[in-house]
Amino acid sequence: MEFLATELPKVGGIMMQVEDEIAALGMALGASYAGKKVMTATAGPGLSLMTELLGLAGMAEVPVVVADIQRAGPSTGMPTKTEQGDLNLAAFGAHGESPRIVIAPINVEDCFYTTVTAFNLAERYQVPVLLLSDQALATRNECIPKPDLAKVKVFDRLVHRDGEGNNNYLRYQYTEDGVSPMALPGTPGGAYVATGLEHSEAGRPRYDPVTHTKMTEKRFRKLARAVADFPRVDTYGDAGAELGIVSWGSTLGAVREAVERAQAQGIKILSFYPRVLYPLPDGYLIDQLKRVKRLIVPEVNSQGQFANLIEQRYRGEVIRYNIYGGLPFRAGEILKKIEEVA
Amino acid sequence: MSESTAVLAKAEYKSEVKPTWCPGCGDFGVLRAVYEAFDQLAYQTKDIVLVSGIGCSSRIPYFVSSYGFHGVHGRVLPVATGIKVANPDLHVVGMGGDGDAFSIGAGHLPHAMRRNPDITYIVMDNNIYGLTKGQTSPTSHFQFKTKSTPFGNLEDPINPMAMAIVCGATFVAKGFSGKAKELTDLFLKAIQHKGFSFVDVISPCPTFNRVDTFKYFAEHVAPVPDDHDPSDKMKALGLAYKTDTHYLGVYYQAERAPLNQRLALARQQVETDRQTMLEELLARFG
Repeated sequence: MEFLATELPKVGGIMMQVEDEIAALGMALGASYAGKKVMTATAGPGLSLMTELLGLAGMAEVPVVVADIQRAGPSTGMPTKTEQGDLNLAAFGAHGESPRIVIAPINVEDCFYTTVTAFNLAERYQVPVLLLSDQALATRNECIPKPDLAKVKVFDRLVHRDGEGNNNYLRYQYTEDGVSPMALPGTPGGAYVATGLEHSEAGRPRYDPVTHTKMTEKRFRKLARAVADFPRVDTYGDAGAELGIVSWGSTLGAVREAVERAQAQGIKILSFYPRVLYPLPDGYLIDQLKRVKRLIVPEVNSQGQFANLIEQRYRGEVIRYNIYGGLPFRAGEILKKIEEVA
Repeated sequence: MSESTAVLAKAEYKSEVKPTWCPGCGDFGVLRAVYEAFDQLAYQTKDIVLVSGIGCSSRIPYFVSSYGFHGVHGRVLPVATGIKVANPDLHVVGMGGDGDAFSIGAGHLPHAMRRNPDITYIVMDNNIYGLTKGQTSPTSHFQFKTKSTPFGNLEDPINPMAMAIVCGATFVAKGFSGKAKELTDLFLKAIQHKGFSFVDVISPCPTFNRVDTFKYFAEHVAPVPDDHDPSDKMKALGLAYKTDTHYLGVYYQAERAPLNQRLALARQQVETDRQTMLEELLARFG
């Protein structure tokens, strides 16, 4: 926030510090509705407050990026300690069924590129995108290569322009990929009501079973299609290994080192580093994980929140490895687990 | 302008959606005054955004052919502020009821008011929760019997006018749905005011509030006295605390640079081109 307060005004941007997290996301949704790319950032308690508006963003199809820097919860928990405990909240935190994408950067350098990806996914699919970092990543110092702007592709939302649609503009038009052109206020012939009520294609309140069914499908069709734009899953290790390990977010460093040390001992292992954690559509992570017979899922939480998501589509049970003391994994801990199950 | 063109022009602001309100609802008068005000201002529907929350009155964006944002309960002001900050050329009007504004949304009021975005906030105040069929609201009177207060309301109401004046709104006015012409005039002044304008509109609920009725208010309203000086904050507060008469008109008005103007001033101090900024930023990592 302090960084953006200094840097954004230089290029015509705005950073606003507001009264609470609900206002922050509300203001962000207003600004996005009016056509701007916008993000807000918080920790777990703030994300809890934002969940109603996250549901609205999914329903009204307003792009937005929300960064959650996870700390050890629940409640106020241990605010200076780390945990990967907010994945469930990020993926499912809202009443009803509301689409969103959850993405996690894997190291300091990746925070830059994955934030760009988060914006691109939000804009392309008109959904809220949650960017999950954590205390261990956010307060870490790392030497990184200078960010390469040539690697960055920027995607802007599909906009309804003046004169298109002959005054029959349908903001929530059923389309093949579920994405409908968005009219920005000020555009002639584009007036519509962005709404949290179930609505017709024109954005009018509509509660009949056919509409709710079709609109629900439209909203989730976007997620199914979004896989085409997911960043690829990085892998490291032995291609033919029967043992695998998948990490998410900031655990990458410890897992990667543990894999290298295990290989030095002659253990064959393949590691996976996905950035998108939810949804997990076909053709993304799970198909690759099926290359291994046994899979370790280390997480800094007690419930195995990512393991739960994987098991819904994986061939069976994964090997969970959970720590939840408020500290991140050490490579030695992971190595020990690998040795144990190898 | 001939009579027929005037009617045609107003039709431009009316959407094809019919209001869902009960017959005799005060909100009809508010809606008519909104149409009339936009018509007199000759705003184009493409440049208007109505932002609302949840409640009977918050359905209003569907009945106007402008852009609209029908969000969640109580978050009208953050959303409206975000829209105005993103595009200062839009005419942004927040609308909703006393529950949306003064219960769940009350936490945003002081901040929106001190921030002073150039938006208008119209509250349709009926002293009751109407959509949920008659429970006490934050503006319900002490001892008022509702379904949720069968022995009479045990709490005192808040005073929205005093609150707005104290919290730093730069335009504070009270209207009555039963006085169409005066209400239109108030909306005109409010929308044209440069800064945060707040209009608390008495908008009776004939179905669930049989106490605060059109008849009662018709007998208990009076125009703000001719000698009232709206630049005098203490006098404005004095009007807000009158309990025997409900004064209609502008209580308080002040000039203060709106939010977008202040943001622009801050930007002007540091603005540079994108490339220079990026190069300087990335050089820190090189």
